[in-house]
Amino acid sequence: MLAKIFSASVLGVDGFLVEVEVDVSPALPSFELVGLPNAAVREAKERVRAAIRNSAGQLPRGRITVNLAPADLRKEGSGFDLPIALGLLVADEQLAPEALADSIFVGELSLDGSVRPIPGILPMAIAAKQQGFERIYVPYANAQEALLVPGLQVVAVPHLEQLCQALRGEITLPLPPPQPAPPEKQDAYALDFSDIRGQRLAKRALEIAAAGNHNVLMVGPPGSGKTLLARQLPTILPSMTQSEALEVTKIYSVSGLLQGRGGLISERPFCAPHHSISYAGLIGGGRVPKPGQVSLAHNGVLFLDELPEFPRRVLEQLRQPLEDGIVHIARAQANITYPARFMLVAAMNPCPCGFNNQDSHEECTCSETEIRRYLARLSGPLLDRIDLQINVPRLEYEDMVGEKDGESSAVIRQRVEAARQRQLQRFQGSGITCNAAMNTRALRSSLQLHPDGEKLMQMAFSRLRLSARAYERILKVARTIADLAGSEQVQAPHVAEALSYRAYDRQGLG
Amino acid sequence: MHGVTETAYWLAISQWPGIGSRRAWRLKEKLGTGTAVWQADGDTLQEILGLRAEAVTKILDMRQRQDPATMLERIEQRGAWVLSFADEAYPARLLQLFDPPVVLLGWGPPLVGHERHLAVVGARRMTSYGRRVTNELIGGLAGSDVVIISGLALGIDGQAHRAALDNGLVTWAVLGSGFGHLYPRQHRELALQIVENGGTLLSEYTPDTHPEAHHFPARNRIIAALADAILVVEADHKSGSLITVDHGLDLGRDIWAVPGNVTSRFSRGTNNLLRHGATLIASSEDILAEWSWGRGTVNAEEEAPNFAGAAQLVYEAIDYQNTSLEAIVDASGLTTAEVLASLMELELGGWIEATAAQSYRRTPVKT
Repeated sequence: MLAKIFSASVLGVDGFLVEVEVDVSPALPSFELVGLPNAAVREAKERVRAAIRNSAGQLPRGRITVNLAPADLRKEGSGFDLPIALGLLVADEQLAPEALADSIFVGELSLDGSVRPIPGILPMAIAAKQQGFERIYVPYANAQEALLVPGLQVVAVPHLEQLCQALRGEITLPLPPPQPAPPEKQDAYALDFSDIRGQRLAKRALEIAAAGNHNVLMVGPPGSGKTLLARQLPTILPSMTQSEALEVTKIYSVSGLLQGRGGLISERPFCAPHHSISYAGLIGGGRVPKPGQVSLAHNGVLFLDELPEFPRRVLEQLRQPLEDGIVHIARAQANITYPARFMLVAAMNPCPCGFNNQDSHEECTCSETEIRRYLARLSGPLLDRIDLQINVPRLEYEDMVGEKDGESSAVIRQRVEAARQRQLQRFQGSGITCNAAMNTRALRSSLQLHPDGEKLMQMAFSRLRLSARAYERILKVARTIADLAGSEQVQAPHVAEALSYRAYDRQGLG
Repeated sequence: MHGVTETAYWLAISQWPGIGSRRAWRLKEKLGTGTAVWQADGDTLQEILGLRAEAVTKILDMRQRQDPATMLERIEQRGAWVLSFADEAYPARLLQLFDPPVVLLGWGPPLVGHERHLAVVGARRMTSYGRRVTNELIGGLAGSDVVIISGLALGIDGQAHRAALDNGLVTWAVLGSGFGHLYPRQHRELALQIVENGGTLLSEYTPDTHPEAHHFPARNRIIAALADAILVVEADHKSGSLITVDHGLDLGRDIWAVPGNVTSRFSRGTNNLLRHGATLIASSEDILAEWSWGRGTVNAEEEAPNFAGAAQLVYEAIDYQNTSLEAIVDASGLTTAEVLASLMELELGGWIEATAAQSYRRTPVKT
């Protein structure tokens, strides 16, 4: 007899439906699995066989054929264990097919029949809802994710045996565990902007970065607090909209990083990969493609400490996500696109020893050639996409203790949100959402540069020896500063301030 | 041969194998003119030079092939000038050397005397201290009639040239290679800027000569000879700039040194010079005092300029010493944004300068 069970899988960050067809025919016993399964799917045979024997009933005798349709898409992961097992039981008439109608089943089986969590539940649930299914059966530990999709009935399955009993109407399954309370704010970000003493330039620059979604490069000696500053950045970023949060949660769901974190991710992610990270780790990919750090930082912050230490080949790959907000991974087996719209925050030393251009007691001992070589590891095209470059000097003791408390993150965040609002209104209907994303035309039409500002720009270019490519970036930053000040026109002081965030260019080597 | 100048002959002679500055000088002393040397027979040459017969044969072979007039013309076509030690215009100071360069090639305006000639030399590995001191010392000489002489090398040399250019001073660079092979590569741009700004590149080598290790100690004698005083900014024990100092001592030039941190190995050489009696130079005023020049001193009590609003508060918060951004924000009572905007305005106006990361000071008022 033939059984059809609906299941789902994930390609990129989107779910798609898979029909699991199981046929049992009287012939010599065998078990065939077709429909482009990968190794993990092929091994389902063994898990299903043992799980059925150890819990629900008997494995049907005869020639078993399982087909995963559509047959031309590659199937990955262990989520088909549960539907295959159910298919076998239906085909063997141990379960009635009607009980399984209008439902989607996903889950990995252990040999004793309990159901284990799998990655990608959220996109699968979204796909189920879109395709008009009423119910989704998910592993008990994944229920939180599936519950994020409104209007879909979620059944949390702890064990194959209990599921069979429930489908026969003998018992009711326990309700999914309740949503854990969202973590306290203090837990998510132990520190606040007001906790950072001194470093006013850096704090101000990060506020501007948050307001215009500009990328930032911090140049400073070791121990000056670059990492600390970067980690505080999410506390002043505008809160995520519902759809942004869902995008992020989907990516974390696909990566299998949601378990134990509860449901929706509502805080902007902060990713800080080490510079020894591999190409696939940062960008995504691998034999079984997974989102990389750039995608895990989607709608959040990607912090690259010691930027010049990253392999150049890896850094060059950042250009596509920085430009388009996506990464496209082309493999022989599949073309996958992951979202990757993040704010890049990078930190580096001013030279290999870290003391170049510092007003400190320690002296830089690097030769010019060494410094030049160090700075040259960053390519122009990458630097082109970083609007704000700031110096973060090491602070004197007095600067760190004798200071009145600065503004709290909440106050700064209010200003940031207001500035973002102005941008959204200005760019309405143009597809641009923030100043950093402006192209030349959008910049020209939205700039409204005061003649004094124009004059200042001209003077700055000749006196500070700025490069031509710095021009647009300075104006973009000036636009954001004006937005923060609530001014429609970009005034001379806005331009003057924007000019102070060109640390790298002014090393004279940019 | 008609129309062949002494300069051309000496240029050709300088290329002979086995003829260095010393042998060439001996030829001049014995035979008087380049023409005479050119026409001398092998025996005469052998006797004067004290070379073996094969060596003299090689010289004669080369002389056969040489065409002095064309040689000179080719160099002049490339925009350079050539002086031999027999020429009137040849810098008299170089003749104080016991081995003056046979020919001196120049690219840029011909050398004219200035009131003072200061050689600024130091290590190729420069610390940020060295960079700052070089800038400040040379910056303090702005407006005076002084030439900054150095060797275009990385580190202090390059910084000295750059500081001279920034402050509108004439600067001469003495090379260890021909003009066609500017070395180090990173300073090609700088070399061009020197010429564009009225400075001169000098070399005793023809344009096609590649830089070689032994050229650099040799060009140091030219730097020492051309200078009134030799200022060593940073040097380790075995720095090449100490060779310049040795030549300077032979020639009776003033030796000046900048003291450094006793824990820094980049100042061991300079501190040692001071121990042995070099003049200590800690500011440009020291230089001016050495030369009895009373001009160009900084007068902090000069009436302060007046700015509008925020800029005035910020200007008042900044010292003639380095003032940190944090201190400026605290002292002015303005927001960071306002301070940054005013700082940029003041900097563009030339009233203050950024000395290091987030560190500013007032620009000394120039008379």
